[in-house]
Amino acid sequence: MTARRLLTAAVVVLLASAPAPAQTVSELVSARGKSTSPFAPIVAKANESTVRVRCDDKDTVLGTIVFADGYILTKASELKGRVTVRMADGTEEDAEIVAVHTPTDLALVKVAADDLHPVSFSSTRKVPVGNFVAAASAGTGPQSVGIVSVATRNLRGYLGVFLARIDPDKGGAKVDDVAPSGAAETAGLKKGDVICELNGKTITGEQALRKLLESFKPGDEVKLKLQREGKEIEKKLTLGGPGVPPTSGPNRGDIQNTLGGHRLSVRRTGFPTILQTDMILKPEQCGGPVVDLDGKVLGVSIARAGRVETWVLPSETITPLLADMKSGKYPPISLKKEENKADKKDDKKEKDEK
Amino acid sequence: MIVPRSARRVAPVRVLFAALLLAGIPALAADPVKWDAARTTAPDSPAELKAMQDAVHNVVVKCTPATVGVKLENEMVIKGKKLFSMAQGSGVIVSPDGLVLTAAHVISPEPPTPYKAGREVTLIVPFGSQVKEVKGKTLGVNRRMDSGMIQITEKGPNDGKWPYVSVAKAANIKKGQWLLTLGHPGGYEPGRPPVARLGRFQGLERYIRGVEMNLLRTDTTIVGGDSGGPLFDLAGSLVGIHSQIGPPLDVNLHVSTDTFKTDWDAMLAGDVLPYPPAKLGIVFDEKAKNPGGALVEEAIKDEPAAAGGMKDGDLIVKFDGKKVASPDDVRDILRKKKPGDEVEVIVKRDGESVTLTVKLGRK
Repeated sequence: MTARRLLTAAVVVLLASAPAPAQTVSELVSARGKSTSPFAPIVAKANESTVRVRCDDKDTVLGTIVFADGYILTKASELKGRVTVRMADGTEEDAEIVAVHTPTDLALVKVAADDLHPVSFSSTRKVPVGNFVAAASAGTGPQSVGIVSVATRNLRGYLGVFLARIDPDKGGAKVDDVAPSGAAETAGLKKGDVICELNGKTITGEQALRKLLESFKPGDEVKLKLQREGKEIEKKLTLGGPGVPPTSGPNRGDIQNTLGGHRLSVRRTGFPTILQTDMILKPEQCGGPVVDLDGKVLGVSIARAGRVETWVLPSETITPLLADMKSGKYPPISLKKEENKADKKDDKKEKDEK
Repeated sequence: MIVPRSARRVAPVRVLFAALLLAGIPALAADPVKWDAARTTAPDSPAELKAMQDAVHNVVVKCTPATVGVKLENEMVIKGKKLFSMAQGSGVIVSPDGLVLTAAHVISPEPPTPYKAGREVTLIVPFGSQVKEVKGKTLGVNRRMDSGMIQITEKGPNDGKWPYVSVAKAANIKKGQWLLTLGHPGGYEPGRPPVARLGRFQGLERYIRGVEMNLLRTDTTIVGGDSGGPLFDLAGSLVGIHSQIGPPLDVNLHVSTDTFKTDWDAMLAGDVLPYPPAKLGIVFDEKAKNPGGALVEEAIKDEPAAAGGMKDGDLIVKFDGKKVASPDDVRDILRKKKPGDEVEVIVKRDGESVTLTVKLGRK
């Protein structure tokens, strides 16, 4: 019996202490308030739309003003207890959670105000890899700067299989290997299985399966029909996603991503679409606007997702939600529901595993 | 750790910039500012930021097609059971016929586990508008310096040729110089092209855990999966290959391209470096003043030098075709040789020149 483990080749970890570095990228940011940073004028306008969101009197995360009459976007999963917002003038306002949209982890909160400066969102569709980005701060200067690491992309739901390059004569996509701790392994898929149907759609080959998967998100449930040794088998599974913690124990990726004690956002997976940057933001520094060199708001920083990445929810994902969030379509009760749903899923997994 | 900050202070110009932005005054310079890839200071104006952004963008466009993922199946035997693991890393194509530079630890196990070139690997490569898996075979490695080579064994997308990057001299990089990293952090992810990160050269790490490695240190963040991937200057030339990280976010270490260049032919030939040390079997007279060569106090009996005809008192004036003035000169050359190599040695003996051939032994 062979056990298969997927190892991501370690960048070997150097654990000896390192000498003090000279100038670093963060020098470009400099401490907030230093107007010497060339990014200070670039983020100035967006800073006026950035607030501090506090929970039980503790700075928790940042917020982005989206309507002048007191509506602020922030990171839903960070909110707990008594939520207040510290405004630009230092006053602290009680905040009411008006909406929670779980796929994007956005919450809309309301404070009593009617002359706030909302951001004006710009599409990221034409923003290429390598362009500068800067995270606004609730003060002066940027919270962080960096570049676009990966242009805006839809995050695909993962089956967690390696597919054979050559399709079987009869069609379908052949499983060459099953990634450990992935959705497929959890559901009991095996090497050699041929996936012939996904949610009732016939799979003609590996490319077709990949294309079909593009329309799914991490967390989506799908039904597969497989051919195994002449028999037809049906499997139901929940798609995984990049960075989704595996079902069994930490992997080397997690260890390296938090090496040095650098914390990641608790909710850092399951987003539908993101703009990936190399900005360094702490989890509590997410939730504010992110701008390009022209000061245009490209989106809201939504998660510190790893050692090399801070994720931004792009404008084109946010703007279609705003009116519905304001009008009550996404009541905040889903915050509590998600907790219960997670418990239910764990019970179900124990039943399915053979 | 206290980071020394620049003592330079610049007068506040925030208000002026804001006024310029509001007035919508177009770029003042007649010629657009171009970013000098060798520059070691930070951009300090909107025009310079734009120039740098253009440079970064050009590097991304030029170098992404040559940045690849590498997959290798490793077999281990633990408690009598065969276990397979898949190692994933990155690499970069440096020639049109598909020569790939990567990290030794992506394609070879740690010594003393033996490694032989010629292992099959799978490379994930951009192929036109798609991504394809192609086959390659491993070539040589330097397991101390963490450098390695792979040869793609399939034809490339450009009339059979592969897109490739040029290899620069890393020794010319200066502290503060801006650099760009590409790679596949976390392993190749379908739908995600190579991930770009920007940072600056922080200095050389000569020793890692007591071993001389001469790694470049930058603050372009890298993580598992990036190993073997490329580090570029802002002219788009390759200067490093990702190797290790430290706990701080600004400790990211890359094998210098100069290391690759030193071992180039040997790695192409599939050699496993570093070679075991080569032996001469000579006791030198270290105290002789200005001998005009390396003075042999004793050519030890039955050792390689003596076997080649060397005698006590010989003055080595040329070693392996190079003039030598001291025992250290001989040692420098010897370091690059391997056991079994035959070297030509010219000595002065009793006023005459004698040419010897010495077959180097193993320490």
